[in-house]
Amino acid sequence: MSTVLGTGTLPVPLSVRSQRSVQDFMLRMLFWLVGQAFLAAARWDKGLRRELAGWEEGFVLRFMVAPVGPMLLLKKRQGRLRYQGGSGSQADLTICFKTLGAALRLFTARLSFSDAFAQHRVSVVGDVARAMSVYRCFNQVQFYLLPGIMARKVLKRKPPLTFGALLIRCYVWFVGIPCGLFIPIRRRM
Amino acid sequence: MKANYFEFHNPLKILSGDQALENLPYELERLGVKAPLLVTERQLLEIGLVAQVAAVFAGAGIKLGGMFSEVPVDSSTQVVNQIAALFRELQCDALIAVGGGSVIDTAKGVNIVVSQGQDDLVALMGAETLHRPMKPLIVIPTTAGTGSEATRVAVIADLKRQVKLAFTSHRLIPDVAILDPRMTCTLPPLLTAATGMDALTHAVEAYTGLQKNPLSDACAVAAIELIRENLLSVVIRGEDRQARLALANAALLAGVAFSNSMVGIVHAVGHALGAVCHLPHGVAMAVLLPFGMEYNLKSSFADYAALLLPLADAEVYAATPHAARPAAAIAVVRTLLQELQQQCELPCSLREAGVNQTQFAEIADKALDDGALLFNPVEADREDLFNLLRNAW
Ligand SMILES: [Fe+2]
Repeated sequence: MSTVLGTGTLPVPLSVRSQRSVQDFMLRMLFWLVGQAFLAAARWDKGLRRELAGWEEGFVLRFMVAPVGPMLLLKKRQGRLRYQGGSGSQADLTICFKTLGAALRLFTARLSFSDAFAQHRVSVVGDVARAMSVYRCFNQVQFYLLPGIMARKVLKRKPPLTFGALLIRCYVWFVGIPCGLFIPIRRRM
Repeated sequence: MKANYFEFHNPLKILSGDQALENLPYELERLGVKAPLLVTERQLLEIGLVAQVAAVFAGAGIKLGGMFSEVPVDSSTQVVNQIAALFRELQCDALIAVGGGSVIDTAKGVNIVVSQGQDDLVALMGAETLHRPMKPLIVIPTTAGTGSEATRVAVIADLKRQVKLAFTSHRLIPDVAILDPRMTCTLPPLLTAATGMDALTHAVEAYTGLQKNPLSDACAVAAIELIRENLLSVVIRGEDRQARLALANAALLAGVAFSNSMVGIVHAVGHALGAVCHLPHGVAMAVLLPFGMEYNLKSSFADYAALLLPLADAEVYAATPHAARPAAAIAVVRTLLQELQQQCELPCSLREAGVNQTQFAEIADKALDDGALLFNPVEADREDLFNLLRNAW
């Protein structure tokens, strides 16, 4: 005797569902963390500031997991990058992860940005040239966020840790990210 | 292979060889096409190549839905929209592209507009952004180089905004590629050499890029062997049909390779040279390839060592110690370039190609924003690109 299943009702074990929710939560946290680190590093790092200067005012960058997973939105407003929270349907450039696992691996430094592209883990909606600028920014943010040994794994070329870079790294970890906890998301356009 | 995961997608049907063109009506019928729009350029119309394509429709029970023969050297959104309007007006249901890279990319652009329900191409630019099925696209290349007949890429200039829109999607891979030696035998020596070097660069960069995989490697190696055996002889004796066909096959194979493994620093800088100095793509590739290989030498040591076999031959490969093979591979490319220069005055340096050193800053900035750089095995910053340009000058 065969069992007939209704459409889309394949049973998913509870363990898998709960694991998925945990991963979902972790990724939301990581999105927030990287977002805050990006804002903090962009205040002091010359390279990041130069990249951001090339983005037009009002530019919205979105990282998301397809089709309806967690999101990270960053917007350039009044010349500076702002955290726009974890939802939004409008963006000028969207970097979309095909799976939650791929996004987790990228944001936990187990997959490099370039390998994510090389392995077709992401799709890009928007200008590829701007995506290259985001790639350079993301590498720089990772450099500040990650210990040297991990950064070396995911960056094709790790910049030298100068005294200035060390100061920015301290600022990102001890000022930028903690402050992010107390500053409400500004959604004003 | 550099990663523990790869994707390979090549749904293209390839018809290659004598009388391949005559199969066009059959293929159209197989795809359910009733009124295809032929897209081509004026020059090909004038030298009678398009007439050869039109001739195969005689008595075949299928008619062309229309023709557009004014595709310019660089495909632009303006032309794409113009052709898309014609496509709708004539109620066409498929596209046939007869020409080189710009014609093929234009046809791909038209296909995006008529299939995706979106008139503004800018809204669709990016990677993997095309979600609706496309109209059938049959490509008949008349150059042997760009490999666009086999790739998932289209580049279309937006003249108003002064930007090049890049599209990558598996949906852009044509349905059928028809390689007929009659279609490429009129290509003059310099263009043959330049487009051949473009194909060689596709294969070399695909073999050494971050996205390389066993299938793209196989295509790249096969392409390099065919180019080694045929490029110089075709430049010397253009009427050699077998060699012409071999080169067309090589270009297609290299296209399959780089469509699944992407290109690298040579293309990033080459695209920028094209945008800033209007240097023909093939010429830029020819000049830059050895310098790009040198730039990646340390990281791609093993890959270049392996490439000596298809680039030279088994005798040379066996006689060269392993440690010397990568340098020997680069030397083989340089020798080929010198021979091509003797035959058809292909420029071997940026200076000979007429590039001005004052343009280097702009070129380096543009190259940094080129997506191909992402897949290059070695990171390159502005200064590295500057040095590469200086070396190539
Ligand atoms: Fe090319």
